[in-house]
Amino acid sequence: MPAVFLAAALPFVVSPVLLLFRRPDRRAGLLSAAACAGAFACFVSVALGASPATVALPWIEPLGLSFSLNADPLALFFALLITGVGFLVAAFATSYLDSNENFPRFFSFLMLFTGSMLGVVLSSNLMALFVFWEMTSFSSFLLIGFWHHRDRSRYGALKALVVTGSGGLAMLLGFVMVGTVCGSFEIAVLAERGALLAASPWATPAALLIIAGVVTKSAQLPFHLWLPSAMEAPTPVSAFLHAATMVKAGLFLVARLGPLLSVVPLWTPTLSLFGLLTMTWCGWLALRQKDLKALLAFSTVSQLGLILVLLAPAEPDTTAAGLLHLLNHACFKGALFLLVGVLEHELHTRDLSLMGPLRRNMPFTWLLIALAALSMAGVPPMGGFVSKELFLDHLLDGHPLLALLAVAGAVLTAAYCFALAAGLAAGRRPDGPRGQDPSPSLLLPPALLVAATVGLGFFPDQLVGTPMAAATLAATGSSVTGHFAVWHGVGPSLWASAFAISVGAALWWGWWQKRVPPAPTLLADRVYDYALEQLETRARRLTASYMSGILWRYCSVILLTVIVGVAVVVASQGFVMHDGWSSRHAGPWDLAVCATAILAALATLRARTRLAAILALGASGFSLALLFALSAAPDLALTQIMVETISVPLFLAVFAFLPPYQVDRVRRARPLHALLAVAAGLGTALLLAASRSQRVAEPISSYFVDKSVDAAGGHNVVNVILVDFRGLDTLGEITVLGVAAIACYAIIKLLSEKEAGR
Amino acid sequence: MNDSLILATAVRITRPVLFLFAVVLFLKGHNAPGGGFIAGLVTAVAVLLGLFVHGHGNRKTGRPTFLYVVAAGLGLALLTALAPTLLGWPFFTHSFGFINLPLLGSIELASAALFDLGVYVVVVGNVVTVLYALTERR
Repeated sequence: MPAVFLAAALPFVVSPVLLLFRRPDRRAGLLSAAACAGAFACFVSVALGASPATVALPWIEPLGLSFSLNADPLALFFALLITGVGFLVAAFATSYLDSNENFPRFFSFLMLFTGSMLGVVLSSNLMALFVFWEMTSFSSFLLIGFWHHRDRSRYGALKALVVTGSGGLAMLLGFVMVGTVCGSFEIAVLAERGALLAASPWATPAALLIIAGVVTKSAQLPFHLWLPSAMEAPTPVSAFLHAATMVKAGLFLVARLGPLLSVVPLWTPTLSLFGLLTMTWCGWLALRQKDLKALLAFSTVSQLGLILVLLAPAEPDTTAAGLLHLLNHACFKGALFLLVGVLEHELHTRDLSLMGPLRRNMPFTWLLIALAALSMAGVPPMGGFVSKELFLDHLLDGHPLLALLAVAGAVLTAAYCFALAAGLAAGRRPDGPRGQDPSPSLLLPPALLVAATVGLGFFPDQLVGTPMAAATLAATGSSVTGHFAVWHGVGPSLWASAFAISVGAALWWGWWQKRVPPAPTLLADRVYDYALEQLETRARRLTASYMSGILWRYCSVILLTVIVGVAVVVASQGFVMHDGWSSRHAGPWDLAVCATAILAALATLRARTRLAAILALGASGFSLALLFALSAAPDLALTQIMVETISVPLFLAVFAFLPPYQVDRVRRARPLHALLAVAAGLGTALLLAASRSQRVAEPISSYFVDKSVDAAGGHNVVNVILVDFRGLDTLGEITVLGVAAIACYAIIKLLSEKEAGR
Repeated sequence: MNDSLILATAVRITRPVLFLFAVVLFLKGHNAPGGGFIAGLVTAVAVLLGLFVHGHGNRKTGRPTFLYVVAAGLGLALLTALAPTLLGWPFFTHSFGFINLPLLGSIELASAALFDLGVYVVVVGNVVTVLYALTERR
């Protein structure tokens, strides 16, 4: 079994297994961590060339769909990041979660997410990528809502699902356009067919729709609203999904499809604009947060904007810089989230203004926070400095307005980073809650991440130079010209960095420290709430307008539809009826049975009591069964008899629910009802007769009759059709039966509870 | 529900016959009129006759016991349909064969019968769920 497949399948296998653990069993976490470590090792072996990087897994070949995996260097980079951070987060969560939490469920969801995320980056087919993409949204929904008894958790979970889910659907539409124009869903094939796309009028809409998927997933303005609400998730989830991996799925897609879609003129400028505006505006919002997690959430959105700007042009140098910053961000932001989790765990608050002096109380925790924050601020010689230099380099060459935005973004980033690190050092409340450094099992995972981002500052090229170059080559198709270094020489970008850091420091010192302005309610949030509320009330109103609860209205609508359908067919095709529409002549018995059925139906109409009506209706039904039996259809006859039999106890049981039988109430509408009934019955009968009299193709029934014994080993053709030839239909039908049973049960229970409550 | 002696006696006699009839209908189904759907309806009638005579008895009401039956039937049908994919055959491939048993002669074993069993269980579960829910209201 190829290592890639093994690694990709491992989380999906472990996820259900975890549910077998008992609730407070911490071993669930250890198993998850082990699964991540195992997958990581597999990816390392692939990266070293010890195992093939591609696995073909055909799915529906005629439609061009496959679940094939392609672990090229770009995918491997992401896969290693996902499993590496996943390992640390799982290890952290194992000792972080309270012992009364539902461990199996948490880690099962976490593994489901890990598997989906690996699927996104490893899929070689756009449709498979989409499937996994939506699965990440779904598992993120489950994880945000993990504490489902909290209103805010459910609100945040739903919001994340609505925003990323609708973006994903738009993206699917874009994928279909791209796939149809280029004639394939395989990413490798698509990359060579950019010219086809460029020539097509569908290119721009497709690119815009895919951008919709990217900006919703990566929480770019104005879709940044879901990420702060997602902070209701347990902190390890925030670190893993909402800092290190899931929000990077959009960025991954930009890197993956860049060479193909950058032929669309709109692609790069639109994405860059999204990125720059988000970076600056959300940097500003981050500066105004008091809740540490909210601060980190807005800062994440802002940093994602920065990376998006770098990845948008699909050029080798910027892509390499973007990937490096992505790695840096995963390290320092993942660490920061975990450390904020530690603070919350120890101090029972996340409010920056309530923190005591951390440098004295929790020195190690504070040191790690400070180092990570300095890296984020882009202070040399941290890893964040290296990639931010490259970012400034890229933008200072461009339009002055964009350069200004970029520098403003860098200033704000530096300011909130200082606010974070220094604000926690001294603490605004000397008498605030006093915690102490937690056990090493909680400090080690973030410490490793911080070490990574510090190491990336000192030895960027030695540590990740080669894999980054390979990933860039895989993403853009051309090689990087420069290499990473902490010292670039004195140039405009160094001055810009120095400016950003010093102005950021001044901004923090002079303005923020004096007065933390209150966090604003997001305009996007208010729009979202309003839209959702309107949708709900309007949907309810619309449903109420046609769901009257009056049976004869429903029946009228159904019958009218039949009549209109028949009328349309007759009007367009004309009505032709040849001889030979009946396979046999009606004998005296048939006529007698039909007459009984008709008489019984009439008696149903005349009945003065409900019981009489039901009995008359039953007579009509049994007559039909007799007719089936006379027509050599014993299966139908048997079924009809059983249905009629069961209807009797059903009616008896429902009696208690029904209002008094009032035949007169709808008397005025009776002629109309009679007209509808006769027209629908007559129309259906004539249509059946006409369609039987003019075959345009050989009836399929003879095939079934011929093959029944040979191919399915059964002499009863009806049953063979039900369970074998048309087995899928039957599966669908019994599913409907099951759903109906659940619905009936629920409705009846609801009714009883309503009455009991009264 | 009802203390009618005649009804109770009649049901005591007819119920086993109905169950047996359902079994026959089910087993015969592949080659003669019958099958899972009809057998399911007959079984449901037999169960309901018991309901008429004995009421809900000391069955714990308020629990959707028979919904689990529905789920089991659906699961069985789905598994039968999925099983061939494990052997590399397309979804829903049925197979059948004959074995010779002493006394009984040649007997057909068909995977379709397992699927039919799923249909049977779903039908029983559905009818009984709905009628139990309706009648245990008072």
